[in-house]
Amino acid sequence: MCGRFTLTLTTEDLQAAFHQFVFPGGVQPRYNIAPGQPVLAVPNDGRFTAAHFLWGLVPSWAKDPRRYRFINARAETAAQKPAFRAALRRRRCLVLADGFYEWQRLGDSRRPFYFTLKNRQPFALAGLWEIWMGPDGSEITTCALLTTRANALVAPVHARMPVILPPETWEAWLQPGEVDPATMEPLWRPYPAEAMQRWRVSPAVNNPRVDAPHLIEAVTA
Amino acid sequence: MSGCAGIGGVVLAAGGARRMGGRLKQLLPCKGEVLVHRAARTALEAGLRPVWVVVGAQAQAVWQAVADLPVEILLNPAWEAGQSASVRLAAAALRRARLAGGVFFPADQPFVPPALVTALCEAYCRTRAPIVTPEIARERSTPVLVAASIFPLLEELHGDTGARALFDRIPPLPLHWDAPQARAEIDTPADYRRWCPEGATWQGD
Repeated sequence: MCGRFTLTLTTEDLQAAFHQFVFPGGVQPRYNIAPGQPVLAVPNDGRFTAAHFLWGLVPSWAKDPRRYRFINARAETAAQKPAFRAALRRRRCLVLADGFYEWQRLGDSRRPFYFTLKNRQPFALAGLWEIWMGPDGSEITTCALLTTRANALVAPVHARMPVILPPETWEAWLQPGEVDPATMEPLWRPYPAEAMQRWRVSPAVNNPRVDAPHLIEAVTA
Repeated sequence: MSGCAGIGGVVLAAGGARRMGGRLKQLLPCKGEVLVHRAARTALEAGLRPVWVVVGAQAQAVWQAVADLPVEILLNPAWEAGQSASVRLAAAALRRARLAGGVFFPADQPFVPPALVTALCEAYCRTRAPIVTPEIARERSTPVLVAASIFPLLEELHGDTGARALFDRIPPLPLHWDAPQARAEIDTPADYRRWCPEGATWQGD
């Protein structure tokens, strides 16, 4: 499960960090990106241009988009799932982030932790995108994040983590057109734990209404 | 803003009205931003959290117009059935978020100042009136604040109506507001020319 993440960068920061992609103007730092919100993603349409997608994949065949909002897709089984199999073959994207939150369950309570790369650089999450056609013929583009089993750093907090794709895989992931899902399996390897860091954060992040720098500050037990 | 703790915002931007020379009203530029962006930004600046934007007609174009703001998008595929479908969707979201109240904004009223929204919230906190509306130049206007007790009633609405369908049963508390521009609606090309002339700079109240 990956249900919240951050992208604490502006358009200028993003352009400097991902020189191979083109970004829309006006991007502001976000500390609590939640499902249902627009997220910045680079789709595999051959243009290497980031655009906003709604987080919560609505399958093309959904009659009612209010019922189907998949925020995650399990990478290991996405090739078999009706909601994801076409997207995995044909509509992949990179969702840009610089950190994500996971919650540790302790009895009845849940403690949030924040995860980043050790070098604090922004990174790319593996995503799937889909087009849903509205009754008036207009299209809505939505996306979901792929998840995999947790690495050694995430595992004490949560059993799953998002798929983080290293830069050398981006070109293959973003190739337009059809790809055999079997060839993608090596990508589901959890990102190396030694390249990541985590710290405990305040439960303030639980509330999707809060979006401020203090959410990612470390708290002590 | 203290007046708005626990109160969310809803921008109703699903409609398909194209009286402005074939252009969707909520995507018309006015004072440097399109109308739906202006409404969502006002809600955020007033301190409402979260802010939902309900989209339907040309849904993608409308939500893309607010993609730079920290808002949640509600898709209303039944927008042609009238405004109540959007109101029901938003009321359910407000209820699930366990908010004390919600402020419903039309997307075509560009000069609602954030201070007016804050004043609505403060009037609610002071009186606990279940519905609060601005009264501008002796006329009832929008945005409308509804308390949580009203959410279930909104979820039962049908047809092309919103919270105003409840006003007979539950008279709103009027909040007097002096600046008449706040109630300006962009409903016709003449309104648009009057209120959003190219290059004019509105300085606010």
